[in-house]
Amino acid sequence: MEFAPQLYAAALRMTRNEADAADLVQETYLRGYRGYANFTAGTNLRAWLFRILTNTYINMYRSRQRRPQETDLADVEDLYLYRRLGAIEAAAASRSAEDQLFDMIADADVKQALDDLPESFRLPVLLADVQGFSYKEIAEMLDIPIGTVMSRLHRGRKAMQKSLYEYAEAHGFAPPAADASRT
Amino acid sequence: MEDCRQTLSELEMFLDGELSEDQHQEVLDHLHACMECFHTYDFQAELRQIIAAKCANETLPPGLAERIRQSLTDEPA
Repeated sequence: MEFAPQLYAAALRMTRNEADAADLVQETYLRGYRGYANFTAGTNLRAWLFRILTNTYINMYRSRQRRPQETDLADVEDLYLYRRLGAIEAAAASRSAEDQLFDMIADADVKQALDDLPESFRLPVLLADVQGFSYKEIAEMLDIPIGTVMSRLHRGRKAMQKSLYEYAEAHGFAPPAADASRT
Repeated sequence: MEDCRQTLSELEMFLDGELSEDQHQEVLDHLHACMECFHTYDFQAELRQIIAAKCANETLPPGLAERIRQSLTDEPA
């Protein structure tokens, strides 16, 4: 079960609770086992398992998620986190602010920022940024057009950056005093 | 600068490895020439690594691996 820890990590971010995540991974292996005849030898086993995981989640768990299904995200400016670091003229001067910001981002914050995304954004970001799948693979897994994958990734990532910044601020990160309107 | 605007607008796809070979090379050339854009790229690249590293793997809950093995063993062959 080489891929079990990755599948479980993804299942946790999908279902947002441990019991459902464990059931989801078990069901994924069962479906994979039953459908193994459909797996083409020499193709990507990991992508195939993630496709089963994603389909199983969508079919079995989505309908009983407790949180209300949000469909959209507020718009956030591009490069949100970077721009919050302020108008720093020399690259050398900004390095410490960056390091301080990155140090302030805890494991739990990244998971929370991802969990906070509405599902239609959360799944593409999870599959691309955490699991490293291509636009095409994600489009196939979620059965949506590649252009939709791209726009959801773009907006989901920006919203996640905004959450991460807010968590860092809550932990005491103070942005540089210079004005934050670097363009 | 036009090149900077172009590079920043393509940065996300560049980091995703989804640009065409020519486009990828153009961004790469600009990043080598422009400190400001390189710094933006560097920040985004590091942020991605942090996000991926913190969410990519979880320790399986005790008993899950065994439960899965058992359920596969119980399946009719």
